[in-house]
Amino acid sequence: MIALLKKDWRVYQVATIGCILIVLTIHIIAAITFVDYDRPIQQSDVLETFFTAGLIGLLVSAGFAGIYGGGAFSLERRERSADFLAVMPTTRGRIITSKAIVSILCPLVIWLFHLCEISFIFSLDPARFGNKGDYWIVVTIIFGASVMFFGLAWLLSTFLSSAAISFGIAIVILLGSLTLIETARQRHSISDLTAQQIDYAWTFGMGTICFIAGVIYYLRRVEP
Amino acid sequence: MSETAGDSPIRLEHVTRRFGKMLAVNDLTLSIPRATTFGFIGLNGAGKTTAIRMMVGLLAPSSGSIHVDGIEVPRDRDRVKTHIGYVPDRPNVYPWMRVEEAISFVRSFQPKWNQARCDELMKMFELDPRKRAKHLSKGQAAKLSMLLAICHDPAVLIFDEPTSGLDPLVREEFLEGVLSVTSERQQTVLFSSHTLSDVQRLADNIGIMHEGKLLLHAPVDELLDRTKRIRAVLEEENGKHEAPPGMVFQRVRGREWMITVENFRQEQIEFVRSRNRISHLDVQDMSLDDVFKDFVRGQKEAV
Amino acid sequence: MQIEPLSPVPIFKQIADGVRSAVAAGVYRPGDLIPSVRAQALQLVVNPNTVQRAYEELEREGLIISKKGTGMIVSPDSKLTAKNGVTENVRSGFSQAISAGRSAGLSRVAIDKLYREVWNDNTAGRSK
Repeated sequence: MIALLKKDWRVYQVATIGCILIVLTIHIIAAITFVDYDRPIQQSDVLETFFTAGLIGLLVSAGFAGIYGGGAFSLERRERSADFLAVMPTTRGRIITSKAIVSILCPLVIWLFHLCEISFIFSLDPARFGNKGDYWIVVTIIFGASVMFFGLAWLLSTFLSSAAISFGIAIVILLGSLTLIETARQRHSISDLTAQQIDYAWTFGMGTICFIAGVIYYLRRVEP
Repeated sequence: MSETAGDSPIRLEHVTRRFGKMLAVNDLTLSIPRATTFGFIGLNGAGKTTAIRMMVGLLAPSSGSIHVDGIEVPRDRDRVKTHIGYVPDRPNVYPWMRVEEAISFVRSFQPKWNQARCDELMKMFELDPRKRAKHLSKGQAAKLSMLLAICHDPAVLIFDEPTSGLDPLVREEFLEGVLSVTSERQQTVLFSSHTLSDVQRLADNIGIMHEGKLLLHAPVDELLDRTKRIRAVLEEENGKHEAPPGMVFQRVRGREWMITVENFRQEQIEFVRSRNRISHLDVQDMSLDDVFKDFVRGQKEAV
Repeated sequence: MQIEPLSPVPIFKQIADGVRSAVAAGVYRPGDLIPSVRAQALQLVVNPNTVQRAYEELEREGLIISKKGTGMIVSPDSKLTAKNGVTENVRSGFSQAISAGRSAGLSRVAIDKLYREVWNDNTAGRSK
């Protein structure tokens, strides 16, 4: 199992490095705005800038959830190493467990990092960032979107050969469905609260169902 | 069931595989006796790779049954993997792995890994343990694939065009490596190849695949013994000619009439002499290369 | 010994011929151990079963005998047997050449003459 985990960690290395670079870039840009600042730097300015950076980071980690999901099977297929792995005397159950652990943990860690970041900033000056409830809504919707994005891309990658295509289709379905929910909310004057609940149910539900469907499909098929 | 499996570690019964409308493998029945080497030949796209991928559990047959070392594939594919050593047509080791990493990766899965054999082959092949798979030459990559497939002492070895694209020297080294292992371990080997000289050197039996079907399955020596080319000279150029029974392929060029026959026997010569107006006749031995080509050509013309 | 993999002559026959000629030429003398099946297979890069088959044929001829525990040794009267084997090969070579000549319309005299010429060329080439 450790050999598999090490292997999957290495397979995702490019994605992980890319993700870390983007997160770093976001924070560096946030820091750069204070170089050559046109007025004296206030604590509140710093907090607001990094709060925004944290939210962007949260969105980025949602995007990376899709990349990790979409890469789960297609990355190996592209390298042809899927065949190599498939003839090793291990079970498909183990192979997919290892993939799931790495591809869920990596974006989750990045996600949690940003969550901690914005929670910390929030706690320093709660009044500045408005209603606590609003802030939680944003966070949970992004989380729900990440789950759905991951699940969709994961399912697609079990049978599509390209990670990019899985990623693309998943993003179209995700954004399309969220837009539909939003249009429906406006047209039928559904309350914000109900719309949010629909959002949660839809994204978490779809994400989980797609993930499970992907697992079942992978376990049942013979091809790597 | 396991008794018959003991005789034939590779057994396919009426195996068919479709890709959409295309029949890649068409009702293939094949059994390979233990401790023999089977050379699998055929044109590109004949269905060899599809058949091989089904044997190693990388592809499910549309119908039919496959047993490898007595284990049903793909139903028990997890269990069969320690029994098979598989070298694919293109190396598929993780490109970022170093040679030593690839070895320890495979070793971690194989309970019966033979490290002494691995060290011996590493030395024989002069593989650099620190080199990454993507930086290996074609020959080294093939050798690494073979080493990774063979060190758990599998009962069955399945090679898909292992030597294609290798230079003659590397090919020889590769084959020596295979032999050094198989000659002491009574393994059952199936390998596909376009290099018929390799097939002739290594195979006890050969099978010719053509358009998804097994055209022929015979011991190499017997095949060479029984397949002959009759050369007859016709009295008239492009004259009328009636081929004998057992004709595999024939060609007339001017007065020269070449007939390739299987199960060569005297009656065939008498038939050619008595039914045709010919001025001369002789019988030639054929190389495996020519036997293969004529069987395939004959099949193409029959369509 | 050399193997011609794409020759129409089956490889086991080539190996048997190779051993015969090696014995006839004195590479292996009576009582000598000949390479084991495995060693021979590895050296020639051929299937061990094929070597085994060649050795069985040679054993039947009496050229080699298996000695328990050590392997195959060249039999005491091997030189004669080997010569017989080689004689057979020469005969079949001649037979092929003569039938080729006859089917091309060469007379017996012409073939005799050719034989003498080739013999002379061959021996002259050797003494050089």
